[in-house]
Amino acid sequence: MQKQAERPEDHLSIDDLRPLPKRRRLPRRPPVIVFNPKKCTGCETCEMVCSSRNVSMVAPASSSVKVLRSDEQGTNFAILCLHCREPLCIEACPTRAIEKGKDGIVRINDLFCVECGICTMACPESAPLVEPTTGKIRKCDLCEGDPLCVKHCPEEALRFYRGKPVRWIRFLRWPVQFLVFLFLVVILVGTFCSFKAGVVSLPCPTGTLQNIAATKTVVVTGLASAMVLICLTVIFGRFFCGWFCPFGFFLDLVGRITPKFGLPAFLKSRMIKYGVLAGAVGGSAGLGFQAFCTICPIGSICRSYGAQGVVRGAELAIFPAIATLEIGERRSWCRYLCPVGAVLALAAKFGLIKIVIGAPQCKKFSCMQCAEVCPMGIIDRDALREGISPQVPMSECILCLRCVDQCPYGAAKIRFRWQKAVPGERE
Amino acid sequence: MESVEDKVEVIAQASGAYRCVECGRCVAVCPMAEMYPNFSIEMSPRGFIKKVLMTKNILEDEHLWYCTECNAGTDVCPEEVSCRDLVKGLRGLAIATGAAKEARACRSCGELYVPTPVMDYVNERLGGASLRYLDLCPSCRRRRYLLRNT
Amino acid sequence: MEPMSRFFNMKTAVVDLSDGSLEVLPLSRDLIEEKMGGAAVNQLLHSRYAEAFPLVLGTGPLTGSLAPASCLLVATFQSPDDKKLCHTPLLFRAGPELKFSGFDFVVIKGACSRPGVLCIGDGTIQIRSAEGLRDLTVPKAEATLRRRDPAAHHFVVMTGPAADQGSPYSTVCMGLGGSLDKTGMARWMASRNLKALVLNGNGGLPFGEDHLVLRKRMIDRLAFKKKQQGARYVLKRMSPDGNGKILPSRFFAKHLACYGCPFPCTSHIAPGNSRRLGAEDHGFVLHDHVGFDRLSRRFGRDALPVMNACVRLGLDPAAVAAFYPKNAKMDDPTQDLTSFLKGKEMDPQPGNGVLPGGISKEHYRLFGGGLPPISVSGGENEGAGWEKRVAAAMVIGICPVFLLLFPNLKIEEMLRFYSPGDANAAFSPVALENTIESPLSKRQ
Repeated sequence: MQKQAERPEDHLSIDDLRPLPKRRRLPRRPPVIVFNPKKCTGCETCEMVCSSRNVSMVAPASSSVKVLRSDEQGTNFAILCLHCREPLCIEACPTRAIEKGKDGIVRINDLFCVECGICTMACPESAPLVEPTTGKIRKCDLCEGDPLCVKHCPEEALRFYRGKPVRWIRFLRWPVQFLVFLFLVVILVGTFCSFKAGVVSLPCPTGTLQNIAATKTVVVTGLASAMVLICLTVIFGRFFCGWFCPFGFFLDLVGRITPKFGLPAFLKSRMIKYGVLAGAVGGSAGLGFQAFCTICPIGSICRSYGAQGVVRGAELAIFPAIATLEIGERRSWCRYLCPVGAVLALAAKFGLIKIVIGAPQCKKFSCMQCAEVCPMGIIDRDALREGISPQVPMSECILCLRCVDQCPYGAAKIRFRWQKAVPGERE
Repeated sequence: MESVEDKVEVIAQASGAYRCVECGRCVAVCPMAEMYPNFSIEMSPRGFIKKVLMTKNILEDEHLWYCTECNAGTDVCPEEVSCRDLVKGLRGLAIATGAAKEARACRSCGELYVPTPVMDYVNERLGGASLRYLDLCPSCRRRRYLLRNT
Repeated sequence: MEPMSRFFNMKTAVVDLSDGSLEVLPLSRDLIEEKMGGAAVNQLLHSRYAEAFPLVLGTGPLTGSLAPASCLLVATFQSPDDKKLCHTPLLFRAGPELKFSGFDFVVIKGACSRPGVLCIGDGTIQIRSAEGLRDLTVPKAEATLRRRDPAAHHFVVMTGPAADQGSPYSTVCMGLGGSLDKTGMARWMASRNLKALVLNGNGGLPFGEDHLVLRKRMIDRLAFKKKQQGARYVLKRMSPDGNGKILPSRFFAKHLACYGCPFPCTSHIAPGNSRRLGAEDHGFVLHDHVGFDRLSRRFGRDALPVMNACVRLGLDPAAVAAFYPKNAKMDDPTQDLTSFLKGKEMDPQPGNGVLPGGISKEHYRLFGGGLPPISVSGGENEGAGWEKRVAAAMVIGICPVFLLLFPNLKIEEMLRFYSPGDANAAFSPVALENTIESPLSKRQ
């Protein structure tokens, strides 16, 4: 038999008839059912009432929610569609039968569904259930906004939730960043590099290192003052980068308006900043003056507004030039190049604080809002897709707390290193 | 002892393949047309049924493994030929006789849960990312989700 | 739609284990109108096939419905110990799985020539081989069974190694929870070479329009304490004098409920909370309250590892408590109990537990000998209250433990899920009164 295309070129394909929707603005508070495994007793009431709506019978095998039991661990879990922000089932469905409505609810359109089961294959938790008797695909549709299972769960393990309305941390962080910027750049003539107010000085740790290397002497008060920031970083992490660095503030502003094109792979190693630090210290030792400080963008931005007003053209050139890296990735300078960040990262490795993603109410792969908003890109999407709580490397985290702020379910938290906050936390 | 040919015959009879009138309604609803760029007559339900009836060695044919077993063809068939029963039966026979096995085994329970071409399609649609959970059958996937979240 | 088909598939199956033959008989409407279902119909079916000494599995009209705690499966058989008729309740998901598989009542007679597993599902009953299951602990055997059909969600009722070795102290097991069977269902199964029952129901039942509202209202009104207490609550109710031997709540890791039940009365005891359980074990499910109570009276805190071993070996904890040599300590329960399995014929009198005033021992054994003897107050004869309530539960298909824990819940309220709406005399509470007499009446 000759191999012949069943469909000549001028026939329509599914992309012509039902194209994939363009990325649309999602509702700010999308509805979802949050499940609390601690409260679930495995009574299957949710299955009973769900099936009562699906097939007008009490038939747990025909429900859109499945209760799993583990006799060995004594735990129960309800598998149901989480109405992902970026549903994988929509991508995979060959007949484009699945749609995400304006209300955020993901629905299977019976007119187009051929019950192939590919959505079940694509879903990270196989939430679309295949009804054993008919082969029909049953998937939660939130009962069009008023879920029955939530109403009837005797232990209130299922909760219908629209996400928390007010995200307030950013209302604290932006003003703080702005005020510090004002303080260090405009008001004070001195800079972060060598902030002095009489006896007290708060020099940059990298600058201090370069100073020591260049002058081959250690000024104890200078070193002690530099250690203040280091000690605070050991306790609280790289909060300086997220809340106080004036260049960081500038990058955040620029980042809000520039598009992102990505960076070439060779630039995307987080070890480069340690190399820059080593180069800065080595260069200072060799050249006899603080080499890096002359081209440092943080210093540049601090020094750009001198007593004479905005002057010193050379200074004005440096920090905007480096800020153009924002078209690659957000905070790419901070991620890959900043030597100050490198010193603070080394200190933060021993920190007492950690960010925990994935408390029981975390929606993992279906939400990934934290990974979206993290400026340092350290929240592992692959782990979320696998249903694992990602380990957040605190040496990279700048503690901007955008993840904690934006998580609609309060599943991202800030905790002490010794506290166990999520199930199955990877050690 | 039944020969393999006889067993194929039995499966073909049971699924009603001999009743096929080649109207093509099954091809119209078949999702394979949207999944595979090399969708051909031989892959389509109508073509495959014909091949089963007309040729030998159907168990070694690569086109046995593209179907998703959705049964949409049966829903529209005027003669109620069950394409799913045919494909399912032949696949089972192919695996039992060791003729072919183009299906993925679940990493955890070992069950053959999806044919390889279908999984390749899913992989490709999900951006080619190597998603490790795709190696698990749906039951094991759900169970693993339970273990990771409690 | 016939009102009766709201509650039943109207099908009875008769299986002969010797040749695997299956006979499906229609369930007579008159029979249901007269006997309602559950233990009453079981009794009738048992007498019809009495010469074969069958095991009759039966559901009540409310089993599987939206009524709370609608999980009951009644197993009726003649106890191998004292030759008296017994109705043992099987909980968790047993009842709904049977009803949704297409049969309301199943009569099992004959004996398998080789060890077999009876698989009931999707309108058929098959006997499959139990090869490779002998002498495996209950969790391992169940895992092996499940692996044979991974996609399905079976409910398994099986006997453990104790029954394989012919122990007179064996009991049936459901997962890691043991069971409430203390009258010898496991011994019946072992004598017929039946290793396990596998139930897999994918069907459904219609329901009344007002059932959802009724259910919600009923559960809201019960208003039990918000903090779950699980099995601990039942243990406390069983000994209202507070004998101080009740495990502290930190041992109860997670509370579990049966199908449709709003009040979890079983708990998972996690090994982490009790270091004595051993590192490999994952704990057990405390479902057999009476058994655990007797064990803790005999062994004190050591009852935990003993119970753990009992559940895995398929041993009746109450029998272990009663018949384990007095003053003997148990160092390694799994080892020590394995040798205890080959015990002598047991004295049919149940252990040395004292039943709260009034519950006649005969009726207590009639209903499996494992239900918690919680006194149901009200009326001069406390015992009669318990007996009547349990009998009513066993007939209408609701978990008897649930009805015992909530004595304020009137049976008439439960019957609101049964009555098709019009005041048909056949479904009235009076009819129930007459019906529950039948299991309670003395037999043999």
